[in-house]
Amino acid sequence: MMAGIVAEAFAAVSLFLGAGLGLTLCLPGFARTGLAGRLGFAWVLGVAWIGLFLYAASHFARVPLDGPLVFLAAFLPLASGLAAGVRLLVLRRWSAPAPRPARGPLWIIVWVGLALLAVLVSSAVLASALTHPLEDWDGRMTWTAQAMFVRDAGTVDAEVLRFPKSFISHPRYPLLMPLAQIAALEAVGSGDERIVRTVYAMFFPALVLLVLEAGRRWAGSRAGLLTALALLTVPWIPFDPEGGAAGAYSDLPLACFFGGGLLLLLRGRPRASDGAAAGLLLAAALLTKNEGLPEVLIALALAVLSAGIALVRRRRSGRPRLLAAALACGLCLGAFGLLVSWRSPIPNRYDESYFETFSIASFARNLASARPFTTIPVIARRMYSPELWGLFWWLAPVLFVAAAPSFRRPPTAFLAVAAAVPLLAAWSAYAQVPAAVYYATVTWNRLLLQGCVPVLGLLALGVRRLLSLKPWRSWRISR
Amino acid sequence: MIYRSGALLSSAGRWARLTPAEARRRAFGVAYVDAVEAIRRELPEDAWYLIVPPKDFEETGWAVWLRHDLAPRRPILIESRAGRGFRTLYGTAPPKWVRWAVLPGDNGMPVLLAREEALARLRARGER
Repeated sequence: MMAGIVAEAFAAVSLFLGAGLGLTLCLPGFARTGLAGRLGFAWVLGVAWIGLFLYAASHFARVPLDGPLVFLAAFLPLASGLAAGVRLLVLRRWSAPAPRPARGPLWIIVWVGLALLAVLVSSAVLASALTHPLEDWDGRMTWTAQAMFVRDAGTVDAEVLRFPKSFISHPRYPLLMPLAQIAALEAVGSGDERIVRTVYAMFFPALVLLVLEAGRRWAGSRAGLLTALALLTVPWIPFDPEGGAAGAYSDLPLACFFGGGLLLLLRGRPRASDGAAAGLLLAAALLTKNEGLPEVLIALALAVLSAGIALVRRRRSGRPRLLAAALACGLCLGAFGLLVSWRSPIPNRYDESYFETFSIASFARNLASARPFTTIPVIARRMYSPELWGLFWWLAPVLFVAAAPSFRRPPTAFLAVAAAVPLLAAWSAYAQVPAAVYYATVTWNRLLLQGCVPVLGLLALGVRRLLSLKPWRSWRISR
Repeated sequence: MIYRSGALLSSAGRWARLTPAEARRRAFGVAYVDAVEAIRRELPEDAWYLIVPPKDFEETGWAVWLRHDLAPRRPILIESRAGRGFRTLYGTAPPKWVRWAVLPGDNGMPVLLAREEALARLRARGER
């Protein structure tokens, strides 16, 4: 009995991973990415590609959402990736991945420890997903319910979403993750929600791999390793059903799409294919949650700004950065057009209606009010709870005091801005709503999660600085 | 993390012996799951139905839980509007073409009734 569901979940995971690996083989920007980073990107790119393909094909071309469409979506990158892989092998251009693993017995122990812990935690989350029914609030209220309605209708423009009297919570929330659910279920011809839970659970190992890659690129192998270990000490992200990998909320996928896109755009000298992959991930972020919009806007603004600075300083990286940013902007613009076009015939209802009650005057008035400050006790309780965040928020500030990375050195300032966006969005929202304390209780951790890749990138830079401090270096040498 | 992962793996090992239906019964309660299964057998998948929640439904999630468990059947939520009868979100009457209604039974578990029978039962309870 379990063998059947494990096989189906494996097939569903392979669908996204295969498509994503195909994309990483086609896009030359990933040629020097190590296996760990490639796998992390493959998962998020695979989900992003298939979700976007189904969204656009269903809305613009009116193609029915069914098995053949899902297989077509996966087949295109898979076949292209295979062809690209064979070509690289024939031409003997398959370059060895660049990352040089941290050497020395101590670092080998840290590597093995990280790998074992990551496998243990991910296996626990996946085992739970494969055996327990879906019990979280938003997953049942919004994301899986929408997936079932849309799958039954065979189109993202389902009548039940557009009929004003139907009881649908947040009918205008973007549908990328419900479409990923549909793709997984259609691929194996099943309606079993344990497959859906597996798709969400897979975002946890993907996040660990992305953070490892981000740390490696921005701060070196050792700092990346320690940062990924720090992520693995936070219980909330893998185990919490209300926003973590154990539920079907969209915050963890959004964190991966936003963080992955940022990681590609903030490369020192990005290739055009990095811009295309970043655009794909940021377009997916835009179509995953409403909060995706400000996060994508900031990521694109940072990419354009870094290109502008490089051009003004006449650096050789100026043009590649500009091209990558332009490609990402183009893809995000297309996704935004799709979102607006899909959303416009859907009357809003059973929603908090933040945008309907929004005005600049009231926003400015509320922002200066004491209301958001009333949330500080609940925010502090959540961040400093060992049950939720372990010792992360106790130790991270200490690290920054001891070894603050230089903000003049890229990409520190950019990461700080990107990390602040979800928190500023939270602060602005708490200023707007009357029940600010309640909203902080249910949303703060999730907003922290959305910005976790840039936050952990900053941590990696701090760790690198710490490792370079004199007392520590002399201790290492004496070992 | 190691302890919690171990606990989760051992819990998964115990739940792996259950069928999906048994797992749902354990998670949500036997009475609720049986009530939902009975409605799913009766109500066609492409049907619309009126959903009449209890008063505290926003706190308990009664209606959103049930909507998920009955999906893709299409719900229209109606509530009692002080003396004006049962109304939809916009204060309008529920569409006449909807033939079914789901409401809390005597034990709080959902029951499926024909529309007129459901409305008669609600009137008898003094809700209008």
